[in-house]
Amino acid sequence: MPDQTLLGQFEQVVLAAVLSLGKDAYGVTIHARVVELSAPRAVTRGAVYATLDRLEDKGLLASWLSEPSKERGGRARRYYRLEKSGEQALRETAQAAKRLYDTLARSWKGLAWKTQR
Amino acid sequence: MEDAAVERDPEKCAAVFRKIARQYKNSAPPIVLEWAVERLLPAPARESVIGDLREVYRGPWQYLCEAARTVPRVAAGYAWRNANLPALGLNGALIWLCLAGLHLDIATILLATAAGVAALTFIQMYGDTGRPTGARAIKGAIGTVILLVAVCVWDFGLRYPRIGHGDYLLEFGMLQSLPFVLPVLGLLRTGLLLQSDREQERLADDGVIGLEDEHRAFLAAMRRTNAIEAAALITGAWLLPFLSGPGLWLPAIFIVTAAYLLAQNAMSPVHDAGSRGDYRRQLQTRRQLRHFLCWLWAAPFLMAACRLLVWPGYESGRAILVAFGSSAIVSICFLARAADSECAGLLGERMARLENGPAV
Repeated sequence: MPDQTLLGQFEQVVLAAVLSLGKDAYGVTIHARVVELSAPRAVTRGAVYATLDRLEDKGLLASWLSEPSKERGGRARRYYRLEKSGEQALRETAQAAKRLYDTLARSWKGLAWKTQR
Repeated sequence: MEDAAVERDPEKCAAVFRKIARQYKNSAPPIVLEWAVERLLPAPARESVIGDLREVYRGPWQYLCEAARTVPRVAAGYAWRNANLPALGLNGALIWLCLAGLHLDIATILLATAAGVAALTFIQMYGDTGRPTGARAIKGAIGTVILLVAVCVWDFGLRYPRIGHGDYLLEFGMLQSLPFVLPVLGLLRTGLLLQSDREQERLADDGVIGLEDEHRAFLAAMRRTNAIEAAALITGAWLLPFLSGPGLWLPAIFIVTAAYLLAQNAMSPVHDAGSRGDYRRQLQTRRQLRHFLCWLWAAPFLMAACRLLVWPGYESGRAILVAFGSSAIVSICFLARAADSECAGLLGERMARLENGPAV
Protein backbone atom coordinates (compact mmCIF):
# COMPACT_ATOMS: atom_id res chain seq x y z
CA MET A 1 0.00 0.00 0.00
CA PRO A 2 1.64 3.29 -1.07
CA ASP A 3 1.99 6.03 1.53
CA GLN A 4 -0.89 8.46 0.97
CA THR A 5 1.15 11.43 2.24
CA LEU A 6 4.02 10.96 -0.23
CA LEU A 7 3.82 13.97 -2.52
CA GLY A 8 4.74 14.37 -6.17
CA GLN A 9 6.41 17.57 -7.28
CA PHE A 10 3.26 19.08 -8.75
CA GLU A 11 1.25 18.11 -5.68
CA GLN A 12 3.76 20.01 -3.54
CA VAL A 13 3.28 23.11 -5.69
CA VAL A 14 -0.53 22.88 -5.48
CA LEU A 15 -0.46 22.39 -1.70
CA ALA A 16 1.91 25.34 -1.35
CA ALA A 17 -0.45 27.46 -3.49
CA VAL A 18 -3.45 26.53 -1.30
CA LEU A 19 -1.47 27.27 1.86
CA SER A 20 -0.27 30.65 0.60
CA LEU A 21 -3.74 31.75 -0.54
CA GLY A 22 -5.32 31.09 2.85
CA LYS A 23 -9.06 31.78 2.82
CA ASP A 24 -9.09 32.81 -0.86
CA ALA A 25 -8.04 29.43 -2.27
CA TYR A 26 -10.42 28.34 -5.05
CA GLY A 27 -9.94 27.10 -8.64
CA VAL A 28 -9.07 30.41 -10.33
CA THR A 29 -6.73 31.77 -7.66
CA ILE A 30 -5.05 28.41 -7.08
CA HIS A 31 -4.37 28.03 -10.82
CA ALA A 32 -2.93 31.57 -10.99
CA ARG A 33 -0.65 30.90 -8.01
CA VAL A 34 0.44 27.50 -9.37
CA VAL A 35 1.32 29.13 -12.72
CA GLU A 36 3.36 31.69 -10.79
CA LEU A 37 5.16 29.01 -8.75
CA SER A 38 5.80 26.69 -11.71
CA ALA A 39 7.10 29.36 -14.12
CA PRO A 40 8.40 29.01 -16.78
CA ARG A 41 6.52 25.72 -17.10
CA ALA A 42 2.96 26.13 -18.42
CA VAL A 43 0.22 24.61 -16.29
CA THR A 44 -3.29 23.86 -17.51
CA ARG A 45 -6.35 24.41 -15.36
CA GLY A 46 -7.33 20.76 -15.86
CA ALA A 47 -4.07 19.55 -14.30
CA VAL A 48 -4.73 21.71 -11.24
CA TYR A 49 -8.29 20.40 -10.82
CA ALA A 50 -7.17 16.78 -11.19
CA THR A 51 -4.44 17.31 -8.58
CA LEU A 52 -6.80 19.08 -6.18
CA ASP A 53 -9.21 16.15 -6.39
CA ARG A 54 -6.40 13.66 -5.83
CA LEU A 55 -5.11 15.58 -2.81
CA GLU A 56 -8.63 15.68 -1.41
CA ASP A 57 -8.93 11.93 -1.86
CA LYS A 58 -5.66 11.51 0.01
CA GLY A 59 -7.18 13.52 2.87
CA LEU A 60 -4.61 16.31 2.57
CA LEU A 61 -7.14 18.94 1.47
CA ALA A 62 -10.72 19.72 2.42
CA SER A 63 -13.16 21.54 0.16
CA TRP A 64 -16.60 23.11 0.35
CA LEU A 65 -18.89 25.09 -1.92
CA SER A 66 -19.55 28.77 -1.28
CA GLU A 67 -22.78 30.64 -1.97
CA PRO A 68 -23.50 31.08 -5.71
CA SER A 69 -22.41 34.45 -7.10
CA LYS A 70 -23.71 36.59 -9.98
CA GLU A 71 -20.33 37.13 -11.65
CA ARG A 72 -20.02 33.36 -12.01
CA GLY A 73 -23.44 32.97 -13.60
CA GLY A 74 -25.03 31.80 -10.38
CA ARG A 75 -22.36 29.18 -9.74
CA ALA A 76 -20.67 28.51 -6.45
CA ARG A 77 -16.93 28.52 -5.81
CA ARG A 78 -15.23 25.44 -4.43
CA TYR A 79 -12.87 26.61 -1.72
CA TYR A 80 -9.97 24.51 -0.45
CA ARG A 81 -7.99 24.45 2.74
CA LEU A 82 -5.16 22.30 4.01
CA GLU A 83 -5.98 19.53 6.45
CA LYS A 84 -3.58 18.80 9.32
CA SER A 85 -2.14 15.85 7.39
CA GLY A 86 -1.62 18.15 4.38
CA GLU A 87 0.29 20.65 6.47
CA GLN A 88 2.38 17.86 7.92
CA ALA A 89 3.14 16.45 4.46
CA LEU A 90 4.10 19.91 3.19
CA ARG A 91 6.33 20.48 6.24
CA GLU A 92 8.13 17.19 5.60
CA THR A 93 8.56 18.11 1.94
CA ALA A 94 9.97 21.51 2.89
CA GLN A 95 12.43 19.88 5.29
CA ALA A 96 13.58 17.46 2.59
CA ALA A 97 13.93 20.36 0.12
CA LYS A 98 15.93 22.32 2.71
CA ARG A 99 18.30 19.37 3.21
CA LEU A 100 18.74 19.10 -0.54
CA TYR A 101 19.29 22.85 -0.84
CA ASP A 102 21.91 22.83 1.95
CA THR A 103 23.76 19.94 0.34
CA LEU A 104 23.82 21.67 -3.05
CA ALA A 105 24.80 25.01 -1.53
CA ARG A 106 27.72 23.34 0.28
CA SER A 107 28.82 21.55 -2.91
CA TRP A 108 28.48 24.53 -5.25
CA LYS A 109 29.54 27.17 -2.71
CA GLY A 110 27.90 30.57 -2.99
CA LEU A 111 28.79 32.07 -6.39
CA ALA A 112 28.79 28.77 -8.21
CA TRP A 113 25.31 28.10 -6.83
CA LYS A 114 24.10 31.48 -8.13
CA THR A 115 25.50 30.92 -11.62
CA GLN A 116 23.96 27.46 -11.77
CA ARG A 117 20.52 29.01 -11.27
CA MET B 1 -11.92 66.72 -19.81
CA GLU B 2 -13.08 63.59 -21.59
CA ASP B 3 -16.05 63.24 -19.24
CA ALA B 4 -17.06 66.79 -19.96
CA ALA B 5 -16.79 66.13 -23.70
CA VAL B 6 -19.03 63.10 -23.30
CA GLU B 7 -21.56 65.17 -21.47
CA ARG B 8 -21.63 67.75 -24.30
CA ASP B 9 -21.59 65.37 -27.25
CA PRO B 10 -24.48 62.90 -27.49
CA GLU B 11 -22.61 60.91 -30.19
CA LYS B 12 -19.66 60.32 -27.86
CA CYS B 13 -22.03 59.48 -25.04
CA ALA B 14 -23.74 56.85 -27.18
CA ALA B 15 -20.34 55.41 -28.17
CA VAL B 16 -19.35 55.03 -24.50
CA PHE B 17 -22.65 53.33 -23.76
CA ARG B 18 -22.17 50.98 -26.72
CA LYS B 19 -18.66 50.13 -25.47
CA ILE B 20 -19.94 49.37 -21.96
CA ALA B 21 -22.81 47.32 -23.39
CA ARG B 22 -20.36 45.35 -25.57
CA GLN B 23 -18.13 44.66 -22.57
CA TYR B 24 -21.11 43.53 -20.54
CA LYS B 25 -22.30 41.33 -23.38
CA ASN B 26 -18.87 39.72 -23.66
CA SER B 27 -18.59 39.00 -19.93
CA ALA B 28 -20.47 35.72 -20.30
CA PRO B 29 -19.82 32.86 -22.71
CA PRO B 30 -22.47 31.99 -25.32
CA ILE B 31 -25.19 29.95 -23.65
CA VAL B 32 -24.89 27.02 -26.08
CA LEU B 33 -21.13 26.82 -25.61
CA GLU B 34 -21.41 26.89 -21.84
CA TRP B 35 -24.17 24.29 -21.92
CA ALA B 36 -22.06 21.97 -24.13
CA VAL B 37 -19.01 22.30 -21.87
CA GLU B 38 -21.17 21.66 -18.82
CA ARG B 39 -22.55 18.44 -20.36
CA LEU B 40 -19.01 17.18 -20.96
CA LEU B 41 -17.99 17.59 -17.33
CA PRO B 42 -18.80 14.91 -14.74
CA ALA B 43 -21.80 15.99 -12.66
CA PRO B 44 -19.99 16.65 -9.34
CA ALA B 45 -17.38 18.91 -11.00
CA ARG B 46 -19.81 21.06 -12.99
CA GLU B 47 -20.69 23.73 -10.46
CA SER B 48 -17.17 24.84 -9.58
CA VAL B 49 -15.43 24.28 -12.93
CA ILE B 50 -18.08 26.03 -15.04
CA GLY B 51 -18.10 28.93 -12.55
CA ASP B 52 -14.30 29.20 -12.74
CA LEU B 53 -14.35 29.13 -16.54
CA ARG B 54 -17.00 31.87 -16.54
CA GLU B 55 -14.87 33.94 -14.16
CA VAL B 56 -11.84 33.87 -16.48
CA TYR B 57 -13.92 34.33 -19.64
CA ARG B 58 -12.44 36.78 -22.17
CA GLY B 59 -14.07 35.64 -25.42
CA PRO B 60 -15.62 32.57 -27.06
CA TRP B 61 -12.34 31.37 -28.57
CA GLN B 62 -10.45 31.72 -25.29
CA TYR B 63 -13.32 29.93 -23.51
CA LEU B 64 -13.23 27.07 -26.01
CA CYS B 65 -9.43 26.67 -25.71
CA GLU B 66 -9.62 26.82 -21.91
CA ALA B 67 -12.41 24.22 -21.87
CA ALA B 68 -10.47 21.95 -24.24
CA ARG B 69 -7.50 22.06 -21.88
CA THR B 70 -9.62 21.54 -18.77
CA VAL B 71 -12.48 19.14 -19.49
CA PRO B 72 -10.52 16.03 -20.65
CA ARG B 73 -8.24 16.13 -17.59
CA VAL B 74 -11.13 16.63 -15.19
CA ALA B 75 -13.22 13.86 -16.81
CA ALA B 76 -10.34 11.37 -17.05
CA GLY B 77 -9.24 12.12 -13.48
CA TYR B 78 -12.80 11.67 -12.21
CA ALA B 79 -13.29 8.40 -14.11
CA TRP B 80 -10.00 6.97 -12.88
CA ARG B 81 -10.33 8.03 -9.25
CA ASN B 82 -13.90 6.80 -8.90
CA ALA B 83 -13.76 3.60 -10.93
CA ASN B 84 -14.65 0.55 -8.87
CA LEU B 85 -12.47 -1.83 -10.87
CA PRO B 86 -13.71 -5.08 -9.25
CA ALA B 87 -17.35 -4.03 -9.83
CA LEU B 88 -16.58 -3.07 -13.44
CA GLY B 89 -14.78 -6.42 -13.94
CA LEU B 90 -17.76 -8.33 -12.55
CA ASN B 91 -20.07 -6.25 -14.73
CA GLY B 92 -17.94 -7.17 -17.73
CA ALA B 93 -18.20 -10.87 -16.79
CA LEU B 94 -21.98 -10.60 -16.52
CA ILE B 95 -22.28 -8.86 -19.91
CA TRP B 96 -19.97 -11.51 -21.43
CA LEU B 97 -22.13 -14.28 -19.96
CA CYS B 98 -25.36 -12.76 -21.34
CA LEU B 99 -23.84 -12.28 -24.80
CA ALA B 100 -22.33 -15.77 -24.83
CA GLY B 101 -25.87 -17.14 -24.74
CA LEU B 102 -26.58 -15.50 -28.09
CA HIS B 103 -24.03 -17.73 -29.87
CA LEU B 104 -21.98 -14.82 -31.26
CA ASP B 105 -18.32 -15.10 -32.22
CA ILE B 106 -15.66 -14.30 -29.60
CA ALA B 107 -14.46 -11.05 -31.23
CA THR B 108 -17.99 -9.60 -31.30
CA ILE B 109 -18.62 -10.62 -27.68
CA LEU B 110 -15.29 -9.09 -26.63
CA LEU B 111 -16.03 -5.82 -28.43
CA ALA B 112 -19.59 -5.65 -27.11
CA THR B 113 -18.39 -6.36 -23.54
CA ALA B 114 -15.76 -3.62 -23.77
CA ALA B 115 -18.37 -1.23 -25.17
CA GLY B 116 -20.78 -2.21 -22.37
CA VAL B 117 -18.19 -1.59 -19.63
CA ALA B 118 -17.21 1.76 -21.23
CA ALA B 119 -20.89 2.74 -21.44
CA LEU B 120 -21.37 1.88 -17.76
CA THR B 121 -18.40 4.07 -16.84
CA PHE B 122 -19.86 6.95 -18.87
CA ILE B 123 -23.32 6.50 -17.36
CA GLN B 124 -21.81 6.65 -13.89
CA MET B 125 -19.86 9.79 -14.80
CA TYR B 126 -22.60 11.71 -16.55
CA GLY B 127 -25.80 10.14 -15.25
CA ASP B 128 -28.21 11.66 -12.74
CA THR B 129 -26.78 11.96 -9.28
CA GLY B 130 -30.07 11.84 -7.37
CA ARG B 131 -33.13 9.62 -7.19
CA PRO B 132 -35.68 9.92 -9.99
CA THR B 133 -38.74 12.04 -9.26
CA GLY B 134 -42.15 10.39 -8.82
CA ALA B 135 -43.28 11.69 -12.23
CA ARG B 136 -40.24 10.22 -13.96
CA ALA B 137 -40.73 6.89 -12.19
CA ILE B 138 -44.35 6.67 -13.32
CA LYS B 139 -43.32 7.62 -16.88
CA GLY B 140 -40.93 4.64 -16.71
CA ALA B 141 -43.84 2.36 -15.75
CA ILE B 142 -45.95 3.69 -18.63
CA GLY B 143 -43.03 3.18 -21.04
CA THR B 144 -42.67 -0.42 -19.84
CA VAL B 145 -46.35 -1.18 -20.47
CA ILE B 146 -46.11 0.35 -23.97
CA LEU B 147 -43.08 -1.89 -24.62
CA LEU B 148 -45.02 -4.93 -23.33
CA VAL B 149 -47.93 -4.15 -25.65
CA ALA B 150 -45.53 -3.67 -28.58
CA VAL B 151 -43.87 -7.04 -27.86
CA CYS B 152 -47.21 -8.82 -27.73
CA VAL B 153 -48.65 -7.08 -30.81
CA TRP B 154 -45.51 -7.94 -32.77
CA ASP B 155 -45.71 -11.52 -31.59
CA PHE B 156 -49.49 -11.66 -32.08
CA GLY B 157 -49.38 -10.29 -35.62
CA LEU B 158 -46.56 -12.45 -36.85
CA ARG B 159 -47.17 -15.84 -35.36
CA TYR B 160 -50.83 -16.82 -35.73
CA PRO B 161 -52.19 -17.52 -39.18
CA ARG B 162 -55.23 -19.34 -37.73
CA ILE B 163 -57.79 -17.40 -35.71
CA GLY B 164 -59.44 -19.60 -33.13
CA HIS B 165 -56.28 -21.51 -32.14
CA GLY B 166 -56.12 -22.02 -28.33
CA ASP B 167 -52.93 -20.01 -27.95
CA TYR B 168 -54.42 -17.29 -30.15
CA LEU B 169 -57.27 -16.76 -27.69
CA LEU B 170 -54.91 -16.87 -24.74
CA GLU B 171 -52.62 -14.25 -26.25
CA PHE B 172 -55.58 -12.12 -27.30
CA GLY B 173 -56.70 -12.18 -23.67
CA MET B 174 -53.18 -11.33 -22.53
CA LEU B 175 -53.04 -8.35 -24.89
CA GLN B 176 -56.37 -7.09 -23.56
CA SER B 177 -55.24 -7.42 -19.96
CA LEU B 178 -51.92 -5.60 -20.48
CA PRO B 179 -53.28 -2.09 -19.74
CA PHE B 180 -54.16 -3.37 -16.26
CA VAL B 181 -50.49 -4.12 -15.68
CA LEU B 182 -49.84 -0.37 -15.47
CA PRO B 183 -51.39 0.11 -12.00
CA VAL B 184 -49.48 -2.95 -10.74
CA LEU B 185 -46.16 -1.63 -12.02
CA GLY B 186 -47.06 1.85 -10.78
CA LEU B 187 -47.79 0.45 -7.30
CA LEU B 188 -44.53 -1.50 -7.24
CA ARG B 189 -42.61 1.63 -8.30
CA THR B 190 -44.41 3.76 -5.70
CA GLY B 191 -43.51 1.15 -3.07
CA LEU B 192 -39.84 1.50 -4.01
CA LEU B 193 -40.08 5.30 -3.89
CA LEU B 194 -41.70 5.23 -0.45
CA GLN B 195 -39.10 2.74 0.80
CA SER B 196 -36.33 5.10 -0.31
CA ASP B 197 -38.10 8.08 1.29
CA ARG B 198 -38.30 6.15 4.55
CA GLU B 199 -34.61 5.29 4.29
CA GLN B 200 -33.79 8.98 3.92
CA GLU B 201 -36.01 9.94 6.85
CA ARG B 202 -34.38 7.23 8.96
CA LEU B 203 -30.98 8.66 8.08
CA ALA B 204 -32.11 12.13 9.14
CA ASP B 205 -33.61 10.76 12.40
CA ASP B 206 -30.45 8.85 13.29
CA GLY B 207 -29.14 12.03 14.81
CA VAL B 208 -25.83 12.05 12.92
CA ILE B 209 -24.08 15.24 13.95
CA GLY B 210 -21.04 15.28 11.76
CA LEU B 211 -19.06 13.72 8.98
CA GLU B 212 -17.47 11.14 11.26
CA ASP B 213 -20.82 9.98 12.65
CA GLU B 214 -22.36 9.76 9.20
CA HIS B 215 -19.38 7.91 7.80
CA ARG B 216 -19.39 5.47 10.72
CA ALA B 217 -23.14 4.82 10.28
CA PHE B 218 -22.59 4.28 6.55
CA LEU B 219 -19.75 1.82 7.13
CA ALA B 220 -21.75 -0.13 9.72
CA ALA B 221 -24.76 -0.36 7.38
CA MET B 222 -22.53 -1.31 4.46
CA ARG B 223 -20.87 -4.12 6.43
CA ARG B 224 -24.25 -5.44 7.58
CA THR B 225 -25.68 -5.39 4.05
CA ASN B 226 -22.52 -6.93 2.61
CA ALA B 227 -22.63 -9.85 5.07
CA ILE B 228 -26.32 -10.56 4.39
CA GLU B 229 -25.91 -10.21 0.63
CA ALA B 230 -22.79 -12.42 0.57
CA ALA B 231 -24.71 -15.17 2.41
CA ALA B 232 -27.62 -14.77 -0.04
CA LEU B 233 -25.26 -14.92 -3.02
CA ILE B 234 -23.61 -18.12 -1.78
CA THR B 235 -27.03 -19.70 -1.20
CA GLY B 236 -28.19 -18.43 -4.59
CA ALA B 237 -25.17 -19.97 -6.31
CA TRP B 238 -26.33 -23.44 -5.14
CA LEU B 239 -29.90 -22.86 -6.27
CA LEU B 240 -29.02 -21.31 -9.63
CA PRO B 241 -28.93 -24.53 -11.70
CA PHE B 242 -32.66 -25.01 -10.93
CA LEU B 243 -33.51 -21.52 -12.19
CA SER B 244 -31.12 -20.43 -14.90
CA GLY B 245 -30.10 -23.86 -16.11
CA PRO B 246 -26.82 -25.77 -16.04
CA GLY B 247 -23.58 -23.90 -16.47
CA LEU B 248 -20.98 -22.77 -13.97
CA TRP B 249 -20.41 -19.18 -15.11
CA LEU B 250 -23.24 -17.47 -13.26
CA PRO B 251 -22.70 -19.41 -9.98
CA ALA B 252 -18.99 -18.53 -10.31
CA ILE B 253 -19.85 -14.81 -10.64
CA PHE B 254 -22.14 -15.13 -7.59
CA ILE B 255 -19.35 -16.71 -5.53
CA VAL B 256 -16.71 -14.20 -6.66
CA THR B 257 -19.10 -11.33 -5.84
CA ALA B 258 -19.77 -12.80 -2.38
CA ALA B 259 -16.00 -13.07 -1.81
CA TYR B 260 -15.56 -9.45 -2.93
CA LEU B 261 -18.27 -8.24 -0.53
CA LEU B 262 -16.65 -10.08 2.37
CA ALA B 263 -13.21 -8.75 1.38
CA GLN B 264 -14.68 -5.24 1.32
CA ASN B 265 -15.92 -5.74 4.88
CA ALA B 266 -12.44 -6.79 5.97
CA MET B 267 -10.89 -3.73 4.28
CA SER B 268 -13.31 -1.13 5.67
CA PRO B 269 -13.22 -1.23 9.46
CA VAL B 270 -15.77 1.06 11.12
CA HIS B 271 -13.12 2.70 13.32
CA ASP B 272 -11.44 4.17 10.22
CA ALA B 273 -14.35 6.59 9.73
CA GLY B 274 -13.92 10.35 9.44
CA SER B 275 -11.99 11.11 6.27
CA ARG B 276 -14.05 13.05 3.73
CA GLY B 277 -11.97 11.69 0.82
CA ASP B 278 -12.39 8.07 1.97
CA TYR B 279 -16.11 8.55 2.55
CA ARG B 280 -16.63 10.11 -0.88
CA ARG B 281 -14.68 7.32 -2.59
CA GLN B 282 -16.56 4.63 -0.66
CA LEU B 283 -19.91 6.18 -1.61
CA GLN B 284 -18.88 6.30 -5.26
CA THR B 285 -17.60 2.71 -5.35
CA ARG B 286 -20.68 1.57 -3.43
CA ARG B 287 -22.87 3.23 -6.05
CA GLN B 288 -21.12 1.34 -8.84
CA LEU B 289 -21.36 -1.90 -6.89
CA ARG B 290 -25.10 -1.42 -6.33
CA HIS B 291 -25.61 -0.91 -10.08
CA PHE B 292 -23.95 -4.25 -10.65
CA LEU B 293 -25.72 -6.09 -7.83
CA CYS B 294 -29.19 -5.00 -8.98
CA TRP B 295 -28.55 -6.52 -12.38
CA LEU B 296 -26.77 -9.58 -10.95
CA TRP B 297 -29.87 -10.46 -8.92
CA ALA B 298 -32.01 -9.97 -12.03
CA ALA B 299 -29.74 -12.11 -14.26
CA PRO B 300 -30.94 -15.61 -13.13
CA PHE B 301 -34.58 -14.60 -13.62
CA LEU B 302 -33.84 -13.16 -17.07
CA MET B 303 -32.02 -16.37 -17.98
CA ALA B 304 -34.90 -18.46 -16.61
CA ALA B 305 -37.41 -16.49 -18.71
CA CYS B 306 -35.29 -17.14 -21.79
CA ARG B 307 -34.61 -20.79 -21.00
CA LEU B 308 -38.12 -21.80 -19.90
CA LEU B 309 -40.33 -19.59 -22.07
CA VAL B 310 -38.77 -17.70 -24.98
CA TRP B 311 -36.51 -20.37 -26.54
CA PRO B 312 -38.97 -23.30 -26.12
CA GLY B 313 -41.67 -21.03 -27.52
CA TYR B 314 -39.60 -20.29 -30.61
CA GLU B 315 -38.60 -23.94 -31.04
CA SER B 316 -42.14 -25.32 -30.67
CA GLY B 317 -43.79 -22.43 -32.54
CA ARG B 318 -45.94 -21.51 -29.52
CA ALA B 319 -45.97 -17.73 -29.61
CA ILE B 320 -47.82 -17.47 -26.30
CA LEU B 321 -44.71 -18.76 -24.54
CA VAL B 322 -42.59 -16.17 -26.36
CA ALA B 323 -45.05 -13.46 -25.40
CA PHE B 324 -45.06 -14.52 -21.72
CA GLY B 325 -41.26 -14.77 -21.73
CA SER B 326 -40.79 -11.39 -23.42
CA SER B 327 -43.22 -9.74 -21.01
CA ALA B 328 -41.41 -11.31 -18.07
CA ILE B 329 -38.07 -10.02 -19.38
CA VAL B 330 -39.40 -6.48 -19.86
CA SER B 331 -40.98 -6.50 -16.37
CA ILE B 332 -37.83 -7.87 -14.69
CA CYS B 333 -35.72 -5.22 -16.45
CA PHE B 334 -38.17 -2.53 -15.31
CA LEU B 335 -37.99 -3.66 -11.69
CA ALA B 336 -34.18 -4.08 -11.74
CA ARG B 337 -33.78 -0.62 -13.27
CA ALA B 338 -36.17 0.89 -10.71
CA ALA B 339 -34.34 -0.73 -7.77
CA ASP B 340 -31.03 0.32 -9.30
CA SER B 341 -32.02 3.97 -9.71
CA GLU B 342 -33.42 4.14 -6.16
CA CYS B 343 -30.33 2.55 -4.50
CA ALA B 344 -27.85 4.48 -6.60
CA GLY B 345 -29.91 7.67 -6.25
CA LEU B 346 -29.85 7.45 -2.44
CA LEU B 347 -26.06 7.11 -2.52
CA GLY B 348 -25.83 9.92 -5.11
CA GLU B 349 -27.81 12.24 -2.85
CA ARG B 350 -25.48 11.46 0.04
CA MET B 351 -22.54 12.26 -2.24
CA ALA B 352 -24.10 15.57 -3.28
CA ARG B 353 -24.65 16.47 0.39
CA LEU B 354 -21.04 15.66 1.10
CA GLU B 355 -19.78 17.68 -1.89
CA ASN B 356 -21.89 20.72 -1.08
CA GLY B 357 -21.58 20.66 2.68
CA PRO B 358 -19.15 22.78 4.66
CA ALA B 359 -15.66 21.46 5.41
CA VAL B 360 -15.67 19.55 8.69
